[in-house]
Amino acid sequence: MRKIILSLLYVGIFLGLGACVDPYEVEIESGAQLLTVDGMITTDPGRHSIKLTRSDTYGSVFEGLIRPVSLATVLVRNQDGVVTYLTEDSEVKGNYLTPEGFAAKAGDTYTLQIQLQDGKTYTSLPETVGNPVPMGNIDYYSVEFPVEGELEPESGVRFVVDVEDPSDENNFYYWRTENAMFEVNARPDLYMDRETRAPAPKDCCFTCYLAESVGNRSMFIATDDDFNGLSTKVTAMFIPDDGLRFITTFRMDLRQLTISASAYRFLRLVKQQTELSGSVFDPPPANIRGNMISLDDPDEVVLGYFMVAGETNERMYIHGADLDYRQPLSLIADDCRVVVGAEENPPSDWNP
Amino acid sequence: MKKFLSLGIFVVLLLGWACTEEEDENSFVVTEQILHASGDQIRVLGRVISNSQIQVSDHGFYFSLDPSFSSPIVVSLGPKEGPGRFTGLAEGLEIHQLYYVKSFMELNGEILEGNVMEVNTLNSFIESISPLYGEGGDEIIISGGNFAADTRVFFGTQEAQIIDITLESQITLTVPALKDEPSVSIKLVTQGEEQVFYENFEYQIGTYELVTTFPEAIRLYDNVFYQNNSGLYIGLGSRRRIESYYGFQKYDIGSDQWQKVSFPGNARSYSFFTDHYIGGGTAERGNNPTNIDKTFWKIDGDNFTRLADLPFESLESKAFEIGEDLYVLGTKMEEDASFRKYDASTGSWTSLPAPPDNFNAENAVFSYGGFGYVIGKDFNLWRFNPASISWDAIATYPGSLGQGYGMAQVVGDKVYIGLYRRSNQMWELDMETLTWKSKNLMPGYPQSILVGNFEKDGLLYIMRVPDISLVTDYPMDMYVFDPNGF
Repeated sequence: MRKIILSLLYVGIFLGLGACVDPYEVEIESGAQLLTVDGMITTDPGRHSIKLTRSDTYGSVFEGLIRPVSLATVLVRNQDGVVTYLTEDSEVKGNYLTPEGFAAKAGDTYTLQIQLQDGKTYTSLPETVGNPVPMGNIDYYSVEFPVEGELEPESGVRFVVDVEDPSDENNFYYWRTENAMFEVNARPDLYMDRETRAPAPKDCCFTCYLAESVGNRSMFIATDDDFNGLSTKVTAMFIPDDGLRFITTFRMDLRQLTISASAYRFLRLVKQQTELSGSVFDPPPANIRGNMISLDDPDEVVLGYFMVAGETNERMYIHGADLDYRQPLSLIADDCRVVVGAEENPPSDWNP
Repeated sequence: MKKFLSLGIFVVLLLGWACTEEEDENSFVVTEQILHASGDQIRVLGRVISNSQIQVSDHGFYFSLDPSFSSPIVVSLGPKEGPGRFTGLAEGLEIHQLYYVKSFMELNGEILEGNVMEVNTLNSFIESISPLYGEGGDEIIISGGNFAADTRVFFGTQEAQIIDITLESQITLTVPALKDEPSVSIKLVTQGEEQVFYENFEYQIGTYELVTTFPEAIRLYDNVFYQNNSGLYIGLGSRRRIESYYGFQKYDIGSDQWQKVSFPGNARSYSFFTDHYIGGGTAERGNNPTNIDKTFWKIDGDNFTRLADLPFESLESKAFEIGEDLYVLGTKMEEDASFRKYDASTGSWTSLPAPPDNFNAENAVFSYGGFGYVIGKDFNLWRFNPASISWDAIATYPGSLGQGYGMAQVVGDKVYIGLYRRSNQMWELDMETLTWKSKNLMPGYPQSILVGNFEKDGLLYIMRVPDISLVTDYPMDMYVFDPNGF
């Protein structure tokens, strides 16, 4: 009897303690909504874009939304006072585009000027366009990364560019990709009805084309401090293999950008911060200053960097069969058009 | 013993702290960067650098034309708390001059100066002016760069009122009223320096004068008109789209007289016509399906000669002539575009490859220099080459297409295009340069429909009638349009 009473007492104490547990609410200080500028103009003719957004509190997806800054007056101005107005993209708010065929001129100095709807004005520090450096041969090969606890390693394709560095100037390189697209290979003949699980082969379509944005999350930058005037090989891009991209044909434009020393410094710091792994050898977190200034309040923090660059680019088609290692095939047993964004017909400039 | 040792270490530590010297306050100001230089403005970035939270009683920049800063322009930004960046803007500077700039700050009653930078102010320049035609009171925009605040703009000898100068790159102004010349140079004057844009501004001109009224109190629609040495002919079609109108009325410009001319064929609406041919159209009004009159007539002064019937049904086709040949575009009896040629020497019809769009009576059409021209619904000016039987889009019509059925009248090397249904716009197209000029709007109701357009001695004679939806009786007035009048 006494044991029963003791047991009940213990249970009561535990229940009582349990009832007292209050969930800990993490109070995150609301982040300032800072103007963020992300854009670049280059010597390559086309529509160059400047994106304006407002930063927000970092947290869950509901914590704060990064909002585009719309209805701003955005222009670039060169050292002679020649002004080019950018117009806001009708489809993507906060994305401002130069006129068709606009190209920055190597050697010219540009500033970006922004006037927001509330009248606040911002300017960038002057940036001078570097001379484009021709791209040499581009090699690519598959690389594997063993993953603990996984049978299959992760893999991807690494691109190495031959850089013929000019000796008469200090060059800073930045590589990016655009117009990435690949053939989506599906098996509609293997389609099974989702309810009955009975085979229900479809006639169409086996091959589609999917445009994507890939490769720019990591930063590929280099300075010629160690190879000024020499020819060298530099890793310029890495495209992860997701089991779909490299089944048959993958396409991308590799852009080689010659940027200013200060832009390089900015990107290097961003790269360092984004690649922090928590190790004791990591550089300490730091506040990275861009090159935008508020003319109304020079102490206002404006994020981002307005870059100008000399550009050379090359379109590449990578055939999966040429790679030594590929991820196991991700089978799409359906019409390839079910893949979001996939198009049945290739674009007019698809020429593998 | 240990206690003495500990006490000794403690005393040594205290002495060590006591010997720490206070670091001196170290503050200075730098001129960091020229942010922006234009015609009469320079914006500079400076920075107060200090190892302590100083209170600056004033800071800013000096701008000077001489390196000794003997009488500088001072841009004072007032007190500043703590170190940090600051920007300064000097306005009203002299254009294309070398300026010396340095930052300063006043700290504890002492003026500290930064490094000196050199910067040139720039010349203003014009890139484009849009539009380059218009009338007094219109707003136009001059695009360029380095426009100083005291910029003045002249149209010929008349000064324009500047509404705004945006970011030193766009001048919005009001065009002064037309004075002596319809074509005037545009001149910018900044601090006594002048620059003239390489193209003139063209005032919108053109006068309309009422010359006569149709001799019958009717409103004519879907009619035929043509001209020859005997006069201007207007007829056929229908009265208010209710009953057919028989024959023509001929207007003699010299005597200012109207005369009735009979037509031997049936009355008809929606025919195609040129100055030498009439064909097709509806045989009767009110039939459903439409009963097409396939007769085809050659015009010879006041006389008409019947030719072989059309080999197709024509309803609202549009015709033009190149040399001796007649070309007929479209018919609303067919869904697809069609194009036919009538060879007057053999009296035969040939079907030609379809034009780029389904052209018909809704399109303004003319011939010039051995080519046919059509204003498409896509605003393109399409040129037809009869030698290669090919079409090219060579220009874009800048005006309103209203509800179609506009006019195109050739006068020398100019073509006057416009007066589409529910549009009073008239445009001049220079066929040598393919440039467009807006002419003054035609008076009358904007909901008007073209009845006829003619050319005589460089003047246009135009008759329009209000749209059928306007019920009141309106006279059919003919205006003479002088394209160069003002």
